[in-house]
Amino acid sequence: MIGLDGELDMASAPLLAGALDGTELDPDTMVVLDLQSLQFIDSTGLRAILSLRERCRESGQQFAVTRGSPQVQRLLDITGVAEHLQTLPA
Amino acid sequence: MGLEIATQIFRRFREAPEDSLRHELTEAEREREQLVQELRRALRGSERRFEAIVGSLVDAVTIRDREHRFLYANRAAIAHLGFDSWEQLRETPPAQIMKDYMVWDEHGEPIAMEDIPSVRILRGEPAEPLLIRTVHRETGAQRWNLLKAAPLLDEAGEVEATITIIEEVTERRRAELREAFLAQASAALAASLDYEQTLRSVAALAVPDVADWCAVDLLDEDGDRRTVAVAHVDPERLSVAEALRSHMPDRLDPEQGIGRVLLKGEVAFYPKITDEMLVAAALDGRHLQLLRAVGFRSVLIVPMRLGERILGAMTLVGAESERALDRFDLELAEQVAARAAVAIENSRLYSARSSIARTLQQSLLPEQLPEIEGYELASIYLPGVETSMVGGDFYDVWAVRDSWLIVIGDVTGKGIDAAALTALVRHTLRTASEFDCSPARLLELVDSTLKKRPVLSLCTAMCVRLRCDEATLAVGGHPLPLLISSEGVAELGEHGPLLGAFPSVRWREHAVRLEPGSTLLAYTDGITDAQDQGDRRFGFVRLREAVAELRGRSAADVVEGLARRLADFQAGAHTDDTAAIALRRTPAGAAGADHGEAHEVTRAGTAPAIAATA
Repeated sequence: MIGLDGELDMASAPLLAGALDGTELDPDTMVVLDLQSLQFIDSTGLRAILSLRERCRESGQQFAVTRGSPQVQRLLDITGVAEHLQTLPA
Repeated sequence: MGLEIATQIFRRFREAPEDSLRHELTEAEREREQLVQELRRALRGSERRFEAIVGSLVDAVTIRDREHRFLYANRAAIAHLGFDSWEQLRETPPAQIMKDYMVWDEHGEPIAMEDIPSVRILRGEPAEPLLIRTVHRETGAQRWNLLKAAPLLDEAGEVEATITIIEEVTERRRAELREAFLAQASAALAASLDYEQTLRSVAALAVPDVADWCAVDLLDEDGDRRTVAVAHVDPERLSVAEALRSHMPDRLDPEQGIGRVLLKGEVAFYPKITDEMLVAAALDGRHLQLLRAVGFRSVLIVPMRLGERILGAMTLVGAESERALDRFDLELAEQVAARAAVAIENSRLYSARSSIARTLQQSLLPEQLPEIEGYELASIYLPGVETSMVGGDFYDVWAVRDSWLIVIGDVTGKGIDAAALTALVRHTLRTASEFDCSPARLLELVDSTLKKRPVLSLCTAMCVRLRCDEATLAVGGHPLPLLISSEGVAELGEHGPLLGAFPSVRWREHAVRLEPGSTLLAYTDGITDAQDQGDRRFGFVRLREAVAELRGRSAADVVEGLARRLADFQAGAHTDDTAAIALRRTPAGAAGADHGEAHEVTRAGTAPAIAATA
């Protein structure tokens, strides 16, 4: 479970990308990105989430997110990201 | 007299007020404390012993009468004042001694005889310790001294004489000044990317604490020398330097002076410059006159270099203060020059990168928007504050057969990769439109092109096809465009997925009839995501309000008005790149008038969808 809070944008997205660098992902686990406390996300932030999802797919892991704040969820909805990601209840 | 004086000396001295340097003097204080103890013992001794003790003090001690004649000077004082013996000093009138020195206070203000603590005591004033800088006129030697004085009272309580302790603090004071200069210069060099301005600040910081003059020269790519900074504490004297520069020989001499520094990267250090040296260096009579006018006394030139590359030179000059620059100044200059070199290089790399980025960005945006008959078209592109980064926002307008295509998008990511991706998306769109100009099909083609790339490549895009008065659009993960009409402001179309992200996705098209005077405004999320200094976002509500106020205005007014409101909102806060493009159907009748008659516009602010295809 990776919890995010604050803002996921150009300034912070590299941190998320770097968060899992060097981490051996175990195929039996599921990576959940907790977006509940995230206040803001932009296209760079979306890219960071989708990159993470791709990385999980490559290592055969399941990937899911939790619902975000209204702003975050709105962007996930309108970009089709919400539809294509497994979304867990908060 | 000896014993009496001795008791008073140390009593007074110990009562002397605190001074700024005192906290560093604990060692010296301990030494003195010990001396006081010894002195107490000496009180039981003799005048001979007093002389033995005070005479051996490292600090100079003098006692003067009311006429300021020396009654006593210890060995340190005799040497300090430049004499060989007590007899010699005693025979020399006090005014004569002072004449050999130029004296300033710690702020660089000249010190007059009346300001000296012992003279103030004679006037009955309190005498705070005084930090002074003296420069010997003949040798150019500079010293910092801390003067402390106390009165010696006769039995009636009248001032009989004054005692002054002169503590030499030159090394400590210069170390302080150098440290302060190094700290300030380093901060200035790290703070800005405008290196020429920064070098001017650094030169200004060096005078007068470190040198009388400070100059910085840069070596440009053609090997030409360019002076970017000349500082002197007195701006009037700068004209002398100006005149001297115009007399500079065109060719640099690799064997001496700044030529040796700029061409060979060596230090040129002339601790003592004589008039003969000036005569030898002068090109002509006028040049010599100018050289003498500057009053060169001591010159130190160090290279600003990075490895083998010499970027420029920093010059320190001791002139009218007659100070002789020394090895500490050399060390200091080398440290500052090294920092300056790094700052210059960083700044140059940054501007090179910025200019590459700007060039690239410009190549990704249409040089000029085409003219579309019956329409006005206007756009803005506001690059993010990081000018060295190529933004991911783009737009394009082009004609295909009976239609115009207008696209706006945002490639996620920054820098050269984002630029390459932007180019790919634009070319894909343009090429694909030759075969099929349905907006939904175009987004599909871009989507499949992006998905073929080895790395995750994402893009948002909004594509409009304009045919006569009908606009058909499809949106992929991008903010919906706004229709500004007599009905108000409404979002057009429906959201579709981001491009490059998901398997088997499709986009839906929406069509709208653009009435005369109505405007279609497409934008990137740089507008709604823009933050003010309190971290609030511009947001959709503000956008909508701003746009509503701009209703009925020309396309150019709409984008410019929006840019202005955005700038007011941000007020200097961080900016991300932002683009907007406005397409306005020319109003019926007089151009620019507020038209937009309502016909066939559906209710409730929603766009009239006159056609929708899957």
